[in-house]
Amino acid sequence: MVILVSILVLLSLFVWYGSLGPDPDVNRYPGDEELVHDPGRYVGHEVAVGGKVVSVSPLVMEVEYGGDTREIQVTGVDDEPKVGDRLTVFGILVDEHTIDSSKHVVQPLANIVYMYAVSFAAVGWVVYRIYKEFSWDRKNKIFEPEGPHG
Amino acid sequence: MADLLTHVLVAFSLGTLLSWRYEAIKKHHITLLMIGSALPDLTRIGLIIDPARVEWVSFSYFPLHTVVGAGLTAVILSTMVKDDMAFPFIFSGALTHFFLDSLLINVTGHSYAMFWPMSPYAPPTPGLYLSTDMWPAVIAGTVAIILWIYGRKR
Repeated sequence: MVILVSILVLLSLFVWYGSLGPDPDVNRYPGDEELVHDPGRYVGHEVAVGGKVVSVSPLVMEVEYGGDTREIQVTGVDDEPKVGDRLTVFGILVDEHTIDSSKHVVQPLANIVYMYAVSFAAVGWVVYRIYKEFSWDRKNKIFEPEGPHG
Repeated sequence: MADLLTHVLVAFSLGTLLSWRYEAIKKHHITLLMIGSALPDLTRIGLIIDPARVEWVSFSYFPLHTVVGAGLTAVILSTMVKDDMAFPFIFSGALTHFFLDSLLINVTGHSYAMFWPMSPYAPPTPGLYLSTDMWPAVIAGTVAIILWIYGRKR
């Protein structure tokens, strides 16, 4: 019963949050979804978006949402990201295809690969510890601490 | 989100230290803490089922990455573990996750609404690191290894 209620509440929260639109007053700025699907509505507004760098001169990133993409030119970035890096930008949407960045972050492709690699390693470590520290009680369908492997 | 390894290493170190202080804390409690520290990143199921590609309903996994969402997930998981202390350990692990993530660099200068739906407020972030930085895991890993070696000699 507790599980069922918790799952239902969680699913309700998923749908509730999914129904919320941008609200800059609480730092929920128009993002990837808004820029890909309806950029015209946010011209002149502050936006926070991220995407893969596809060109460095001019600096262009590809913003993706749900399989749809839009190329956005970014101005106001003083360092030099490489093609393939991830660029996250906060700034004014000047027109439907241009953002004037006031703040940005570059994440090199190699670091993104690193992040996923060590994260998978972490999952493996936790699964190994579960195997070592717990046993599965088939009768009661519950994990029991310090089982036969412990 | 900081990389998952950093989260799990911090939970391991915290659990190890606590187990030295309190004898009632066993190895499996440290594992529960580590599970909890990874819990908010269940939002990564979006890599498998992308909400943006589901057309019949608009939804988001973001609530999993909030204190309330992690609490509910911890409730669900703790019912699957035969230990009365499962919930506090799993949930505490999740809290360490939120603390570390509140320090992440964000271009808006603010963290995210971790207390939603109770509050939409996104606290300011000091912006100490990115999730793709290597040094947090190096530091967390060094501390964890030192504690592990010291723990084996105790």
